[in-house]
Amino acid sequence: MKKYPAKLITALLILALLFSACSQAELTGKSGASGGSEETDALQGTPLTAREPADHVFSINYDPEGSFNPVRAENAANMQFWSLLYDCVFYQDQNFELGTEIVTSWTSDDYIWWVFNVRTDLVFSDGTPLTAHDVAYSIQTAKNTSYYSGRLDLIYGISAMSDDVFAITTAYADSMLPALLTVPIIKRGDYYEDYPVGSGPYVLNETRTALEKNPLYRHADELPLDTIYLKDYTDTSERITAFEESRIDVVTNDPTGMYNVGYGSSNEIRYMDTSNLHFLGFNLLSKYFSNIRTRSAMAYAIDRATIAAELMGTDCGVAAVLPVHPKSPLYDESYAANYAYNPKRAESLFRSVIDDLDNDGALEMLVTGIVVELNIKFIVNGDSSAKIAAAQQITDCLNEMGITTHLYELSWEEYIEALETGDYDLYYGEVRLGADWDMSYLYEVPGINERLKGEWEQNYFRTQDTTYTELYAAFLAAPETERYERFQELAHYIMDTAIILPICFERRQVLTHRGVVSGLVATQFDLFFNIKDWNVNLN
Amino acid sequence: MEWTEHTAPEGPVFLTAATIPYRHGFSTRFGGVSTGDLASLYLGEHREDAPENVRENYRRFGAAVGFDPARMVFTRQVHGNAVRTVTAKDIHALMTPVPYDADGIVTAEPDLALLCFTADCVPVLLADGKQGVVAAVHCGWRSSVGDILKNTLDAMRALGARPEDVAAAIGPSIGFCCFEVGPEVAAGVETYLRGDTAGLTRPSPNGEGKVYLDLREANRRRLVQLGLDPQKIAVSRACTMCRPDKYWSYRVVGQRRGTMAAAIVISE
Ligand SMILES: [Zn+2]
Repeated sequence: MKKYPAKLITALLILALLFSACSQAELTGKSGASGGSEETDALQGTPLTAREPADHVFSINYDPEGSFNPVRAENAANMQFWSLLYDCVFYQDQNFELGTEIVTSWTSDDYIWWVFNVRTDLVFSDGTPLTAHDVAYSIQTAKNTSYYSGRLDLIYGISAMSDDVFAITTAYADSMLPALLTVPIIKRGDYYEDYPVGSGPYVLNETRTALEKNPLYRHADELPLDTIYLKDYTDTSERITAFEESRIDVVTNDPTGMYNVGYGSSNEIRYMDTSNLHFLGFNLLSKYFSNIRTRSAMAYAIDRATIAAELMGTDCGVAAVLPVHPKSPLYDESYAANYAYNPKRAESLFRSVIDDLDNDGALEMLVTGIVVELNIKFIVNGDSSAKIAAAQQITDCLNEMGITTHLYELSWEEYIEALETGDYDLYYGEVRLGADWDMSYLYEVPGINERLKGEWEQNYFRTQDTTYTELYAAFLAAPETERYERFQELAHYIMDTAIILPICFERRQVLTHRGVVSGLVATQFDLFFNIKDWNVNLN
Repeated sequence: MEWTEHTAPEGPVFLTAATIPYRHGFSTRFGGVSTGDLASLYLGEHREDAPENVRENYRRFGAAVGFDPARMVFTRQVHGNAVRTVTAKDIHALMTPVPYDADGIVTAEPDLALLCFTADCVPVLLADGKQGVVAAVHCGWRSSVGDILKNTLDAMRALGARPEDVAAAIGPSIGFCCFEVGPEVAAGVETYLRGDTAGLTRPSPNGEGKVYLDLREANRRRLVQLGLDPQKIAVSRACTMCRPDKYWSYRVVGQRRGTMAAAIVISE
């Protein structure tokens, strides 16, 4: 039995779960490789057009057979609207900024021992008070699920000390812990229920066919809809038709993922930013990329702007040079600009170590004094046409410079196998970063610099440079006033050593019918974020 | 952190060392306006770029570090061991002939920016924060084995500096990873350091008695021999030859190159 890296697997599972609702089925959207076209069209090129709303009610897709339990998070279709039924301990808004309606204050001197104060005026939909015991219970149970464990694995212990105070201890200092506590709150004891009691804006009706306004919800008066109807369209083509005919009113689409589904044009498309980072990784034992100059050359060989705007589905990428989202205040645009796409510079850097050494017309490089013909093995997971297109573009750029590179489109199993055995020089990777942007686990080496035992089985970079994890630890442990500085140290070190080269962050599409919804601002975890600020027009 | 890398609002990416008590900075290639082979922070004056670009680059670097480009002193660097003590009378306007040769300059005058230029060679900034004396030294291997650091400290002492109060920053330059030299250089370093050369060289696979030399460490040892407190010496780990995209490297890009500047100014 192969051991796969838990975090990467979890990240991929989350993606699959979230979007399996739009399952791959018989339809695939036009591949991202087409680039340039302003809209994707589905159904063999038949353009879809928005029609008059078929009904005057607001409906969303769901799975009546599936669980509604947001902590267990087992049903992707129903997870899309968890926030309509449940509150969240903390949230991150569309700009990755922290917020909460539950916690009134929190303190920590060392970022290891934390104390949180909870509002005392909140009630569940059954009328019982929401207390710190329920919050602690929700975080504790979420920590044991595969869905949440990635962001909560640093939590050592959590307990409620009274009805309005709970405390957390962590395995290492992380001043951004609150941002990781994006966990739905269920009533204590309800973990095994398929519909736990919640405190969100809506409740499921008796027949489980609609969401009704929760009269006890603190913003009940501000909600835009009294009822949200649930429709069961499990099949992808059914779902598309249902959306086309306005039988459901909002859908999401991941044009970069495995389940890329084209929806019609003439709808309103909004984007939600995600912390899913695409990057280039190196085998640091590779004869080509053990050399820092060839790695740094690669930084200039990535046309991030084109990849983000065209290859990730139209505008479904946000180009990033540094390993943090450009929307984050940590991102230093001016420093990043120094690493802009510059094939001439890439070529001159390559040429400083690579030349036609044996006059055979092809380029070679000297590796410990031995002439080595260039033949770079670049691997990409072939399940995503967008990733293939991006990797292909980078490959073309290299080949144009005479840097012989072959792109291998591998199945997920083959891809992991190649990473584990080191049978690659360069890889196209994707990782979902947490709210603290921590990606130090990518560099962890068991027994050398691992922070959490058993977390990460393989270090694909094959490096033992502990400076990364030290710089990440310093960044995570930094108080807010020093966070920016610590992140710059980290980012400059990453760019100086060129161990990993960020490409872009993914965005997802949120589709609605023109004119139906305004005020919609989705976040990566919450399609219905702040629904009380929506305006819905069904006429 | 001994070294901090800054991105100035004006653009330049530059490094400072925690040991130095005054405004100072070591430039990189990043953050100027020059383009093509000279991109982008090109701080040369008699090469290919347009004078207005060079002036803008100096303006940016001056603004980033905190000195007035109208109050700079620099010399024609000749890989010798001459050190000159300078004052405001030595202020040098850009694009005018450089009046004299020297690889080290020393001053006790506030608000006078001393600059030295390197591309692989080792830039060394020295500062006595108590007596208010600073120096900028261009240490190629010839200047190094010519004991320019001793000459510099002598000049600083003449202005009242005391070695135990002098802090140093040894900037980005060609590293132990890349600096291959002939046997004559290794012999020179042996004499220079009076035999204290353990670990300073390793053999090169290219034969002919060639070795890799850790010139930065050699100069650090010399400063300790001259009476500096090892705690007050910051040594950069950045190798110019490994990263010719970020630093100017003579050995990588040859003649068509710019130079990095190391600047220091006695400031409040
Ligand atoms: Zn080097």
